[in-house]
Amino acid sequence: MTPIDDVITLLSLSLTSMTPLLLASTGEILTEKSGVVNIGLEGIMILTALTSAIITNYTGNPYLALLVSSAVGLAIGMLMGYLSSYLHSNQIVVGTGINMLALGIATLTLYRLWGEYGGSPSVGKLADLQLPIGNAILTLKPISVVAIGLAIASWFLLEKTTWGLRIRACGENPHSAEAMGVNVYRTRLLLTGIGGAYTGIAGSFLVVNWVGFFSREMTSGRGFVALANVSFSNWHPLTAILGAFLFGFFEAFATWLSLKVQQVILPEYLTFLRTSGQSLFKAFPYLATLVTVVVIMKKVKMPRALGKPYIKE
Amino acid sequence: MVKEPLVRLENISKIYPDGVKALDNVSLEVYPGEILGLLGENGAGKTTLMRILYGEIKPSSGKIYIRNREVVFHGPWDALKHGIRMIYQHFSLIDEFTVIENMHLFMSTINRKVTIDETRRKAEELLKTLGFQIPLDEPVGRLPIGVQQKVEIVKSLVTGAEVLILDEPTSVLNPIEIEELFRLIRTLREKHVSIIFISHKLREIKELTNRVVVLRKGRIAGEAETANIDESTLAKMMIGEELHMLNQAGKTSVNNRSKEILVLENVQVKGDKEQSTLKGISLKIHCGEVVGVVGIQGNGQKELAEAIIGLRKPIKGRILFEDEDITGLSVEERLKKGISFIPESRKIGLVGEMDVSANVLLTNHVFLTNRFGIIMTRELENLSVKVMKDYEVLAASPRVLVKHLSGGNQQKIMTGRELVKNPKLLIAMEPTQGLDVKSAQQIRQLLLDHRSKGGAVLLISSDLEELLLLSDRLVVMFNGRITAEGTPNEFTVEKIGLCMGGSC
Amino acid sequence: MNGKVHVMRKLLENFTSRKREYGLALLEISLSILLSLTITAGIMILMGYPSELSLAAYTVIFAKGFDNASYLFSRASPLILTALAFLYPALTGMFNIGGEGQLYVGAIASLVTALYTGSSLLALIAGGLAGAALGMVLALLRVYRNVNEVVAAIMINWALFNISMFVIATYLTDPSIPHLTKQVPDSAKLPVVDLGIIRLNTSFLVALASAIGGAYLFYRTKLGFAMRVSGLNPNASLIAGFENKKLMLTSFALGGGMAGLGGSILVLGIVHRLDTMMMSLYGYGFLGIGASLLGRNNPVGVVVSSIFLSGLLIGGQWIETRLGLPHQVADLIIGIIVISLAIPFAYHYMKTFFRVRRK
Repeated sequence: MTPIDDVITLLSLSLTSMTPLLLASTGEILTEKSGVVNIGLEGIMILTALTSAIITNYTGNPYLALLVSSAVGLAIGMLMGYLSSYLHSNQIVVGTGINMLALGIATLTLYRLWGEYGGSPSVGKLADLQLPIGNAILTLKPISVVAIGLAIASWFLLEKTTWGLRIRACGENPHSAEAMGVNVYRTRLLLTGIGGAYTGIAGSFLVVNWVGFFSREMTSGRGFVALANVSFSNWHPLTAILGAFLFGFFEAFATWLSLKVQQVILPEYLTFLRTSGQSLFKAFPYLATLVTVVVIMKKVKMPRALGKPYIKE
Repeated sequence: MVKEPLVRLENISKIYPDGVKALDNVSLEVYPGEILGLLGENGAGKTTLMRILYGEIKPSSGKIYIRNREVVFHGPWDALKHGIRMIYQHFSLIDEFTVIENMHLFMSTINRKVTIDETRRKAEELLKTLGFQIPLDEPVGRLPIGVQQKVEIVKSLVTGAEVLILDEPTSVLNPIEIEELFRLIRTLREKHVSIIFISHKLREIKELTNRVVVLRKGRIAGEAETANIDESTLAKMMIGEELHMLNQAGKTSVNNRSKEILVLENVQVKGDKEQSTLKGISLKIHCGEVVGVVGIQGNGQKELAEAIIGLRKPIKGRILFEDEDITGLSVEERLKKGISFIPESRKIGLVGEMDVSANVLLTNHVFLTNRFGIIMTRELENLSVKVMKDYEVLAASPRVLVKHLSGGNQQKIMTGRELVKNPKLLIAMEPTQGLDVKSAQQIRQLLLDHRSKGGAVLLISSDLEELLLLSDRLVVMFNGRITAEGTPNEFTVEKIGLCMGGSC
Repeated sequence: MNGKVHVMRKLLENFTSRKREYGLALLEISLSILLSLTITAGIMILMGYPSELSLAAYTVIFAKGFDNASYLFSRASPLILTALAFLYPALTGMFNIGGEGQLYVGAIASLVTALYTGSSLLALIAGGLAGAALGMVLALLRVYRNVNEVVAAIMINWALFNISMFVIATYLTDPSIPHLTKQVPDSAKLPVVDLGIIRLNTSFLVALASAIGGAYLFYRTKLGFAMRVSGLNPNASLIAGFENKKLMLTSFALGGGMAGLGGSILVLGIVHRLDTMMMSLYGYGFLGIGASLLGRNNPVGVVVSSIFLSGLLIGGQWIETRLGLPHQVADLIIGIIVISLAIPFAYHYMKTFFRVRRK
């Protein structure tokens, strides 16, 4: 394999890894701009991935799965929004609870339907676009394009429309926003729902556009990497595209490297990389993400009222 | 010519669930094109009444009529639709947004279909009519307070206002900005906007308004054409009783031989704003002396207090306490040396989720901890009980959570826990805020007692009468500097006003 | 003598004046549990499981989960410590979600120390210090680089999960049993104490001591007072002369140390060796958060709630063997309890309802 083939492969893998991150990040940017922090993204991804696997398995229609998954994401997001807005719940605790629940519900359902603990049977997938470049093929997944489109559209909504102005007001100063006639509770409810819907698409993507079946470990922290990307991109959807690509690249690189290591000749003291050392590759994306966030974190500016419950006098 | 009232409030009462009667059968009329003054002390009910008019609060009984038609407001949005706008002391602006974004945000509530360009056009037209400029694309947070207030007013007007309610608008302005505001208000009246001007400052009411309504303890205490009434009559309506003279026996004058307890030498401290940055303060406080600091909030008083107690480090200059340089000492070390601090807000000075004894411990822990770092609970209990008894804090026991106490009782804890340890120097910011007349008198007497025993007090207050009553010496602050110094009888009210405004 | 009487009187007065609060807290918790059981049953029925099955499952959980006291207490011990790992920083106003990773490093540090020195005491100390160090990293990132501690903790948790796996598989495996590590030498194992009616593992005593020690620290010492004030009102903390940054760092070191200690006792007292799939270590950290919330942010409450949750989990494993249901039913119950406890408003509603009724 020539180096160019490697680059193309890496590019394909990166774009793929980028997609769920970008979707969840964009959704969470919308949510956080309105003042709510939803750390239950991981849980939403697990449940919506499972939903997609179930729907595709029983109806054979991956598009339907996408639709239903985003609806499930919307519903869970709105539950979160309701609890944190109208009932003043602690947003971090609710998010943690959702994450705890999700795995439990997923396992129970898996067992009920297929008698298995680990994963679901394979399901039909969406077709990818294959673009030949030289000798290699660049794989572009349709939902990746959708993700980028949604990010651009979300940026436009937030920065260029009146709706966006009202949304951002809720996140900067909910008391002033309310005094100027914005219904802060309702806005936050809606935006948390929309964020959940985006994450629902991300979860669905994992099953119907990537792996092809559901497994319990499939999300492996992606929801949290998405959260990191939100701060990393300074709550800006266009920058989030770059950030998601970067974090996707970390994951792709780790995967690619772990395979490469099987193929090349290694000196004796490095042979562990083929066996137990594989775990190190898995750790790499998280460490790289952390380092990246630490390095740039001083310079970001988050919405002022983020995470604090807004209580009307 | 008898005009029709634009707004009529009829027999408005407001009783809160805990029994407090904020308003008792208040009726009020507002005519088109007039400036109506609403005068009263803290807690008289002025803001409550206006919040009812603005739809923020529902009245317990009574009716509201706009142009003789009865209306019921379910929220501010209903009042907005009728052309009523309210501007609070603490503005409802979003600091991170630009001026035009704030205006458009408000506009989009009133009329969803307007675009931001149309809002901009309307704003520019309005500014031309009113005769001044505002930088529309500047983030609001960076503008001076006076300009922010103009932004608030223009924001209300650009969406079409008929009645503009201003709640204590001059509390954050310097005298020059106050003049500009008055000019703006008069222009608005010419344009047939009715203004309701809430204030407790007699001079402003007299200067600006056509009519004045006085509220006292939730009831109407008087009503008059402003031209036909004088300030002392208004004052009597507002307060309703004679203030007893404080026991000034023993208020001997401080002679130069009295020991200096605190000396500030050319202290420069960075402030929250340019206006409040201390630009070289030199000050001496003696034992047995009350030094009163006069000035509009935000001119460096807070920074001065924080520098002395150790919350802010001076960039230049020295602070000497009992002839010792304490400039580099921490807050805890200064507490040990006998400096005490009453902060300006109960939100900062108390922990609501903890009980009374924990809050007493908060600034007394240096005296109530043994050398292993363990709290001496018996001594703490005794101290808490003493504070509650001496300062008449009404609570069942020291284990009551502070958030369940009334504001007045909370203030007594904040003040009592400092006085009880007889500090050598007490820095008191707004020590009687939120207290009823009797409690405020008590605290003032205690401050004087503390002074008689040889303690020193730096008194920072927005209550000019209190400062004049208690201080041996006055110090006027403006823009982070001391603009005047002297004994109370060396000052006239005019001179104080001018020095507060930087014009002396 | 006078002092002791006084202390007893104070405690009693404390209790009686807080009686109403304790009573309400108990009510809140019972309602959450009841709510959770109902919703879980509902979910199971929705999924198509026969309805009698949920009742049977609950019976098994509560009957079998709690009947072996020694096993229950030793299972609960690491959970108590990870709950404290969340609780202590929480009292200071911070979220320590890194308990999972802190436990891993504590466990590995303990195992290595035990293998090299054969001393349980040194191993315990090593574990605690390792966890504390990791906790400090989180705090430093938050205080000096403004990194959100939740995100950083999750990244570290996942990274450490894999790194621990690597370390275990590469350096610590037992040559004769490749998927397990070498065993902790007998001299370093934590002993079991026979008290006649019950046989208590020292692990439990360590956990209990940590809870009691923490309670004393937070409610009787200046440091603990300062940490609580800093968490409740950082501005008031400055007025009191406390240094918030230092307190944040201390609380995370303390929290991390608790989790590290949890890993230690897990290795030294309960499982005695680790496995390459990390199965023996996984999950205590997150569960600890739930236990802390259920314990109402109170060290004593945390001990009780940890025992309760451990009982649920043990019961969950029994329903797997007895009824063939996945043990995740217990996870579900716990998750819903956590969420329902996060709704302060709902309980506020109830409080005012009862107050009005009484009038």
